[in-house]
Amino acid sequence: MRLAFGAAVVSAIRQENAGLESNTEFATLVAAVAERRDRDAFAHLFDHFAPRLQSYLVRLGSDSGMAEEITQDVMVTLWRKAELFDPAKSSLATWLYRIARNRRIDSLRRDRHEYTDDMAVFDVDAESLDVDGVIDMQHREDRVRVAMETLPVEQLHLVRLAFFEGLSHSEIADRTKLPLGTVKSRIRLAFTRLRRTLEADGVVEAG
Amino acid sequence: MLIHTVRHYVGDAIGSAARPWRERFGALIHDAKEAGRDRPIDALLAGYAAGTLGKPLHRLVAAHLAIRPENRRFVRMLEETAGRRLEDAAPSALRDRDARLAAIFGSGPAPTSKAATRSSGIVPAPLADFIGHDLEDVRWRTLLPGVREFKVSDDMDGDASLLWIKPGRIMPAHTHEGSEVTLVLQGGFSDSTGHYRRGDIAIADHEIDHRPRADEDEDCICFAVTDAPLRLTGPVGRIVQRLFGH
Repeated sequence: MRLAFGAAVVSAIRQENAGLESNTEFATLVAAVAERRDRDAFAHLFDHFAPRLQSYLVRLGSDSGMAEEITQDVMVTLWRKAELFDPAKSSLATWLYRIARNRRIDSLRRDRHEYTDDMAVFDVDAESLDVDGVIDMQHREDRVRVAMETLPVEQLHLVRLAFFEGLSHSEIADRTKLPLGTVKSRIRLAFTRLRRTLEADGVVEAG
Repeated sequence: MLIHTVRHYVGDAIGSAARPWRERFGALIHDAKEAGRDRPIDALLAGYAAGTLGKPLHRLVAAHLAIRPENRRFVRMLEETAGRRLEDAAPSALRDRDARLAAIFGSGPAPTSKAATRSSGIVPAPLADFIGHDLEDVRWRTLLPGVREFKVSDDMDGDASLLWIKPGRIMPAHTHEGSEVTLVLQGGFSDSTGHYRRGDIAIADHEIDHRPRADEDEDCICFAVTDAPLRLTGPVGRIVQRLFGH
């Protein structure tokens, strides 16, 4: 019964890979883990997200060993703290992304003896969308993409390198052969513009 | 929140960047004066969302978000975009899938959070965890009368300090090569860029005349990070630079 349910979910996920339906199905699987430590449900989540986390982390510059370690840490967190995931507040991919991001930053200096609590950050951000209700995830993401497309080409290029490739300003300067000051100023202008576009859209608070 | 007018950026904005943008998207455009203004905090928030800041700065921004609500939605939207990128990532083959699952199922209960119990009213949890001390246990070092410092970390990820400034004191003028990012935890201070109170982030580039003066009514406690110009993001080849002091 459980397996059949899982198979149906996986099939739905395959059909609608990044859509809202899969968000709903992921949320159902996470709830099964939270409520009764459902191993089948967890295995489906693991099979979907662990390989993606692995490749995403490598793309951001982690070596494969580190990426494996962080991926495993993230999956352990999902297993242990599934009840802290709130599908009304973020997609599962985003929730896992944030755990991976924070774990990666903590692991870069290899100060693993220090116990770092990702949940400290989650507790904070848990309130963040309570202000004026929830925008559906698809819609919210589209707004950022649309706003990014309004950037001048030379800024968009740098924003992509900084935001999606995870490059530092100095690395971007090296790659683009632009002076570091120009890189910095363009990126600053770009993100301020992005922010203002989203504000004008009414989806972000005025800063 | 913080509007920094940084003069040397104006030429770049109006000359190369603003014009095509204005032509293409007139409805979204703010006036020409606005186009010459950037707010370093937006790029800092984006760096937080993208995970490209060093650990001290990352925690500084997390603490800011914990204290103040106004930037949370912007950060959350960027994180959703990054989450979508994760969702879209091409899956890579996992080694030892079954063994890894077994290890997870065999892992014990989650350790209890030390950070949650340690966070005080002044220092939010993400920062308390990083500092590793209660504020009362911090071993302050007197820099000059009325100004005390505790160096939290000094490494490639950034030079992080707690500062305790008596009311009305002026910090010694100092220069730094990169940006100095300061989060106010208690009280407030003013410098040439504005007035900052609890939860505000002040970003001082080396161009800025930086002589912060603490408010008169209360001790000012800040967490300050001099950021690394370069991030270490993994492969040895990308680890490049040693930080500057200030």
